[in-house]
Amino acid sequence: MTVPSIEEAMPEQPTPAERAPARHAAASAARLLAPEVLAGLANLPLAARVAVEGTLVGLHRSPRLGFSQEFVEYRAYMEGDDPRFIDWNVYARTDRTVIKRFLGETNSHLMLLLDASASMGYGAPGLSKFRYAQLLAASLAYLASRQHDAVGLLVFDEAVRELRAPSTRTGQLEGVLHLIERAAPAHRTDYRQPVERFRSHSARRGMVALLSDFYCDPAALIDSVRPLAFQGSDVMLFQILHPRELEPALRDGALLEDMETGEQVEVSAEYARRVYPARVRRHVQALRDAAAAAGADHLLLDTSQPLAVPLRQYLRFRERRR
Amino acid sequence: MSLLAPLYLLGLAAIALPLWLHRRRVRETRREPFSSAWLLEPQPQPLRARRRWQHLTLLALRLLLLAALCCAFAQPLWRRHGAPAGTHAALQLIVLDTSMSMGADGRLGRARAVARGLIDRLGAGERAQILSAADGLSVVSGAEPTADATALRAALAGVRVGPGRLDYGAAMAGLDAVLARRRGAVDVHFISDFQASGTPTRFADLMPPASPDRTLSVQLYPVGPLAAGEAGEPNWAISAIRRSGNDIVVSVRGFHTPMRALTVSLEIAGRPAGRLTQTLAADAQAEFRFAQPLLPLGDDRVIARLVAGIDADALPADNIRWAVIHNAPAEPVPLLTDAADERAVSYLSTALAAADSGYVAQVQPLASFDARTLPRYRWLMIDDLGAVGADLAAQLHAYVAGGGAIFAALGAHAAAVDRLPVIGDAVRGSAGANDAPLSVGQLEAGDPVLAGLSGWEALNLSHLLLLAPQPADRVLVAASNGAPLLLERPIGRGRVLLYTSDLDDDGNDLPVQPLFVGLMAQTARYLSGRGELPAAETVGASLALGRAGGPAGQLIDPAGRTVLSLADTSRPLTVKLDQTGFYQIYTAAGEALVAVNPDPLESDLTPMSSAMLARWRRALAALQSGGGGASAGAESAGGAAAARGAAGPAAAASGSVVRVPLAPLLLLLTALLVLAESLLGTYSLRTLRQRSEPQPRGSS
Repeated sequence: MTVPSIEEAMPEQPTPAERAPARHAAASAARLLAPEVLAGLANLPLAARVAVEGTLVGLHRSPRLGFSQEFVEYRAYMEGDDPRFIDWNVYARTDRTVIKRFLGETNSHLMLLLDASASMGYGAPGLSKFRYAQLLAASLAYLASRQHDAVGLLVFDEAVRELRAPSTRTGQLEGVLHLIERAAPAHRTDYRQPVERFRSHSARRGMVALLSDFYCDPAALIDSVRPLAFQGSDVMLFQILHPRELEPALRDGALLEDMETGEQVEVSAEYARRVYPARVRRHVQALRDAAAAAGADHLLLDTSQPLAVPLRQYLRFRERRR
Repeated sequence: MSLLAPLYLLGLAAIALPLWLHRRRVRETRREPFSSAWLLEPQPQPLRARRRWQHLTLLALRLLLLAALCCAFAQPLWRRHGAPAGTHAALQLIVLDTSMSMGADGRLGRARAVARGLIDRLGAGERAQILSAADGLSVVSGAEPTADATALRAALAGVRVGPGRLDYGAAMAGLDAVLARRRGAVDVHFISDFQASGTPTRFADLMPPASPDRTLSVQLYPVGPLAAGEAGEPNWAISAIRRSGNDIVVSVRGFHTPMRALTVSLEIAGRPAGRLTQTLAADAQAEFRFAQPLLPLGDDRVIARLVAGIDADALPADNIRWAVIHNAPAEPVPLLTDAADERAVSYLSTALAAADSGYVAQVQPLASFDARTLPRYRWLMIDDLGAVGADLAAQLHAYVAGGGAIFAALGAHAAAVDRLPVIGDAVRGSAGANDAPLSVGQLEAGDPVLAGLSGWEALNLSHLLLLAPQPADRVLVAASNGAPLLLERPIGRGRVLLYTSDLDDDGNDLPVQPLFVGLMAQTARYLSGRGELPAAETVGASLALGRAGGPAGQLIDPAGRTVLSLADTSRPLTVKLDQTGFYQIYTAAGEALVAVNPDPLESDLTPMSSAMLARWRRALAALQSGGGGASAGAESAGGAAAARGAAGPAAAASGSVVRVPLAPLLLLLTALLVLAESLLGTYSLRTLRQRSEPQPRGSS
């Protein structure tokens, strides 16, 4: 018995006969997963479900991908393991306590760290970054729940605002979605405190998805995140930016006011058009490099991108863990 | 600071327009919320602050531009103290009193010292002019002001005291004529002994004339008595010479004088006529009567002098007096009448004799009058012009046209003719016979015939003939109905004085009125030509030579020089008598003498009271528009110092006020503001595009 590779987990190349309806379904899904369309749905769980179903409709593998009762390996018994899984036959033959692991027992957990700082509110009255992050977080939670992964949520700004530990219990998804729905952007951002808090509550390895705009020093951010990677978790950094943050469109000079600090910086149109985008690109690249150095993944999302992109990225991550 | 046209300041309200436009057009920098300023790079210079600074500067420039323009039109004058330099400095006008009183007790010397101090203190390029003031103002330092102190000092050294009189009111009025074409600031330094007798009747006359083009500052420098509060130096003066019967009476008056025995000498026609010594009480007047001196026939030159007892006399110039005394037997003047027993004849003869006019009436019947004798007479009288026959009328007309004169009344015969003989006027009827009584309605009181006569209002007029005056006629007296009562008709070189009523005491009661004697006396002088030229005048008086367009004749001044050029002798003109002594006048009518003496008012050396002087200064300071009080105070102090010769004119000169017109500077400022506004406006538009590209902060 072999563990499915990531290539197997990823959508396979369809046959020409399958390609036409698949393209049609993908096109429909793309329209359905347009962020502004999803944002129009008042019901967040519904939006998440639509996003996930829309994403999976183009995949050929079962939504239960990777779930089976097949034996995978033996592992030495460690304190805390459930004694029910000790293979007593092996113990009788070798006098060693090992645990017999099956495929279905490799379910992971997904911890969503949602940045609810004031800067995430940028983009209103259209699709704000925070709304996009809400949709993404809800979709990820929904998708993980469908994967029988435990889902947890930590909403933070400069402090931890909401925390729900990962769990597969009934009603967990609804609880997570409710907390996501209830969150609102405010205050400043501090990554160190939420990560520390999360680590103090859960020592289990799993996937950590950090959804933020990451207006911070990449090195400092990675310093905060690196302990999670050392702990064995896969860290995914979803950097969500508004298109106007990437390419500010100022017709004239403007006084830009920081939504978190209130700091006012006057910039010219020419600076916004030529200088600032380059600075953002350099910042994103620096963040990507730092994340790679720490074993984390980084994905830049702008709020005009369909949610299918980050959801597929999540699936890649999940397959990578197998 | 003062404004010549303050109404232009209303234009300052126009600054509301740019203010309103700026308020409308000013665009605040757009403020936008942004997710994070972490990656933003502050500009080297905040755009908002720079743009705000530019807007405010532009606004200030435009407001200043309008304000400067309005102020320039308002023509402000900046008043500053001290002697300025440059061509914009005030003209320094130094006016020295050269009237006779300034010859007393070194007053002229003190006045020169004050003037020299003023000249010494002239700033670089500052111009001055020296004027002498006595019977008017005259420039003594050249026609134009000069900055040449040497020339000014030379002119000052040439200033002499004259025999004239200075009236301060006339001097102030004369400034207007002297400064007629002068604009800008003028500082007048008035140096005088400020006699009380020179004060005009109206205090307002002491104020200089106002002019919108000129700012006049008058500073007073008294150089009168040395001791403060002194009433005046003692002075004796011969105030009058007159004939009283066969005697000559000389009046002597003392001003602030002690009792003293004075000796007066008399000279007649160049020969000594006697000396009289008489004690004169303190501060009193006395008459020295020279009994029956020998007077040659004709106009005699009489000179009286104070020769002894005047050792303390402060002013020698008034110790001599000139007079002309006419000593001749009465001349006959024909009185033509058709009836010698007419009352008019009696009235005319009696009045002429009583008037001591130098003429005696010679009654001659019209029928027997020999017209060939007419050239013997300067003038003649006719009691009823209507009685003159045609032949005689023609001869009389020719006599008048040749320079003769007739005084005629219109009696009963005149009322009966249609056209009056000699003058040829038609009688248009009579007035008053059946009407309400008439009276005198209007008269030329200043005419030589009527001058000084009073009592016309008492004249009862019941009848007069109506004549239509000719354009050349002069109606000397008009009845209440407007009809001429006394008419002067020029005919050729002569004239006819026509009384349009009778002199029989029938149609009017003029012959029995007291004024009739005076009227006949003045008529005799006027028609004979003797009354045209006065026998006595004061220095500074104007003498009118030539009458009715006739030649002036020649004038010989007291020094024996001919005054008029040959061309001037052939036309009438007026001559100013500026010397004391005897003027000789040669006219077609003969030779005449005029004795010219100083004005007796100059002999009183009493200075103007300090209260009066202070009031004058205050008024001058007030006239020099607010803020001049301090200046006036300085002037006052300066004047006092100068008068005492202690501090000299330094303090006085330090108080000079200069008014500098600011309009040219404001216009220059306006031009600069326009330039600056244009440059800044262009720069502001250009900076809408950001020129510099700021370097981003180093990212981690």
